[in-house]
Amino acid sequence: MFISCSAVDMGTRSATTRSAPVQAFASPPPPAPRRFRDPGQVPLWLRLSALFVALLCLLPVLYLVLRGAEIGSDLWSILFRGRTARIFLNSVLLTLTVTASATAIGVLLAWLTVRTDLPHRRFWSILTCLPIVLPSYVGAFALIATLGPNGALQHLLSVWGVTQLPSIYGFFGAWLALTLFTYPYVQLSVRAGLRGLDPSMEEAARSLGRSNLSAFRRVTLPHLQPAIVAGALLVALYTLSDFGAVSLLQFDAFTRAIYVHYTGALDRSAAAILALLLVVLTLGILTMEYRLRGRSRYYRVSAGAARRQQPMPLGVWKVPALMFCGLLVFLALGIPLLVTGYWLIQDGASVNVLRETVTITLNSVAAAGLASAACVLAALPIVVYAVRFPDRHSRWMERCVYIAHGLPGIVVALALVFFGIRFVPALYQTWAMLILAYVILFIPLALGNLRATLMQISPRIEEASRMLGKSARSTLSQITVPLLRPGLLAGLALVFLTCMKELPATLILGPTGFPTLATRIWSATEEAYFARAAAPALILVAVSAISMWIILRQEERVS
Amino acid sequence: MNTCAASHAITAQNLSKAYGPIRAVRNIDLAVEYGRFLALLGPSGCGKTTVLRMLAGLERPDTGVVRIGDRLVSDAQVFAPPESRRIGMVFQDYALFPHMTVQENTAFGLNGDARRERERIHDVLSLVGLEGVKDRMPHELSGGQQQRVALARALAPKPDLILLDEPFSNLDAALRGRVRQDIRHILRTAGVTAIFVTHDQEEALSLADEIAVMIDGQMIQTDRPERLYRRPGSHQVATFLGDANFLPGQAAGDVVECELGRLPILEPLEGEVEIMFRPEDLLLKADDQGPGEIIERTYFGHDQMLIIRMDSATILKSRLVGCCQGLHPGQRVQVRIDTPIMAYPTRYGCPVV
Repeated sequence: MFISCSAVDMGTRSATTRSAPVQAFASPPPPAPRRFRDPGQVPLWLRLSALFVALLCLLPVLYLVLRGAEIGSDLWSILFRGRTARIFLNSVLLTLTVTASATAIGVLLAWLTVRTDLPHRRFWSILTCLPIVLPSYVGAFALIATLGPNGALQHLLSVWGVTQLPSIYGFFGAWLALTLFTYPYVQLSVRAGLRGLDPSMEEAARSLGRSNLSAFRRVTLPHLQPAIVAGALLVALYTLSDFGAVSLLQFDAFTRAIYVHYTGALDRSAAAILALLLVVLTLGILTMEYRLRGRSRYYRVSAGAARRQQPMPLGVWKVPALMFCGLLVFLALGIPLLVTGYWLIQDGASVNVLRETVTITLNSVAAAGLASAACVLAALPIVVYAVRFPDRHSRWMERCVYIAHGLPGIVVALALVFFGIRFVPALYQTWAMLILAYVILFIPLALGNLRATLMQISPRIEEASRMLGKSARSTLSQITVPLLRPGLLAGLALVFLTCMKELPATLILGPTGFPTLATRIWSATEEAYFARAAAPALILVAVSAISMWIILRQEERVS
Repeated sequence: MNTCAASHAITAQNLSKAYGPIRAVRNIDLAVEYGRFLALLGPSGCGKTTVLRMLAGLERPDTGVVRIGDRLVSDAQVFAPPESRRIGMVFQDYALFPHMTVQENTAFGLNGDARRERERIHDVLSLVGLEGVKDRMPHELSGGQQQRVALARALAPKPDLILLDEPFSNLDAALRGRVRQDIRHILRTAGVTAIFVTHDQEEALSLADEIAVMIDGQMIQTDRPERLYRRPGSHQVATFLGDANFLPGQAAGDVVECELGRLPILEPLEGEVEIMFRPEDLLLKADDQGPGEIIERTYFGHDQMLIIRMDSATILKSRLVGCCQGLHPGQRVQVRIDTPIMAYPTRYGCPVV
């Protein structure tokens, strides 16, 4: 895209000849400067490079559709065989149960920490939200390293001669892990809803003779519904597309089945069809979420009634409520940290393991660094197009860019594998392919930041530079890009941290012999070599904590 | 350097611009002589900023020709980009580069050797009186200072023409009057030609050598300030440029018969007319037998505005300088006009277009 960019610059410069400001008026047809585009029109290089990026992001989806259409008659036999049905049911079952339990926990916690006289509410509300920073596979690792065969609990119990624990693998383990690490999505969303609620409504209900509980059920809950549904949809989306927890806990949902089919390698069409099916399910949830988000704007309660809400007395329920919060924090935060520490002490801090950890950390940093730079560069033309020349095309391009972000990582990775093997075999299992996957998956993170920053830069500032004799391109490099720097850096950081955590694409597309923090935790947990996963897990928890902090800080600044 | 047709720094003919179905600017002509100031005056949304942006090259006109000096910069085939036009521009919100100091902002449009550049920066910054703050960042300056930086930045590359978009609208009223005089002095000293856009008639009258009144995308009248104020071409222009009284009358040659008697008019007319005179043209004398009564008085310090209701129910405005004893609400008065006035033809009481 930069080739086209410089071509335009040459054009501009040739016509910007500074000398001879005035030509003789007498010669009627003055030496016509070259034709120039209307300043309101989109420059060609911008249009082309934005289009290129948008098509790139559309690549996985396009390829999957083409591939699915190609399969033809096999499609129906694979689609309707018993195994597919079981996988489908498994995924639906897991999504429904995780969503239900996470929603119940999330709503209860939000209510306890916002509206009741729970002691140390602030402390609990921060602590119970923290599990959100654990990538699912780190959570699964913690669960398996504690309760799994050869895990910490078994080690401890072996003193008393216990040699076998009930199996953690399968539905129960996957459900537990995903519930524990997704309920904060509901909690955060409902928390915001509760805070925006006008307390006088509840008081009105009580003055009309309703009991505390009845007022909550009849008045507060219906008003919170959009916030609850929004949080629940996030959880459903997370569960459906989660690869780490499901595959480590060996539950045959879509993502794991796709991976197994893919590594089985005999029949990759089956993997493609399963991926397509998963895309359909995901799109269904995405559509619901999108519709809801459009409506929730009307729902927002005015900030006018800023009166303090009276906390509701818990009475005899205070102790059970505290125990509930304590148990959750212990399960979702305490166990992962304790068990990681346990394995670190066991063997995880030995020189060999640490040296290895340094190497794979550098691998992760290198891949994430390259990917974040590529992401920001790719997001730039889309953002400039969409903000400075908003039109039908730019809206479509932005949508294209967001499509892949909504898809499960394993689907995008798989599509790129298929595409790579068939069209660019030279790139298959190279860094380039991995970076491309990261860009496609995470470009919206960079886009959001850049977009918000560019919107704050007045186009008049760019025009001022043009009026002072600078071409469009020097304006971009001397004015726009320096002013975009905060957004560029935030986008860079966010993409970087997110890439560090990414598992499925790294697993499938990473060059052979290129372990990263995420893949190391995954493989070490699979081999029950928990000590090797301990240090990487700690590093990743820190990485995701930082990224979560950046996101929250930005949300604060926006609101 | 140009001897033949080059008494004009910029000329535009037949400029039009539409945004979808909205015709923002319709067939506008303008020409500004070297060293003179033109004000584009009109209510907001009348298209005056669009005209400015077309002259600057920030918008491409749908029709029309723009020449800077003798150089054709825009017609149906040709469109020179803004950076090649050698025009300075001061934006309404100043559009200073927030990541550069005052000095760097001023230097942005210069490209020569370092020493000459430094001299030029020194010259313009002392012209606008900002030598002392050249290392500050834009957000560390007051509104008036920011505006002078914007002016210095636009003047630094020695443009032939400078365009100012609502240059005083972001300043508070107390500051505006002084800054206005400063800016005029700076522009005169720099010897540039200037076009500025404003919706404030006082600003246009006090700053410009010539005013072009724009309403609804069209240029209604272009004239010197005094003439435009004394002899507005229509009812609309008259109301736009300050307070005015209107009365129906019958014209016969250079006099008009109306409620206030026989009055001389500026341009001969026949038949049904509407006369226009400014509040300061209406002279009052306290007289208990007079045909009018003062019903309201607004005191401004340097002058005062009196509202008079005639026995015929006509309402008239009179502006009086200083403090005139005895003229207070409830007082009956005699009214008189001594100067020739404007008259516009009407038919059945409506203006003839």
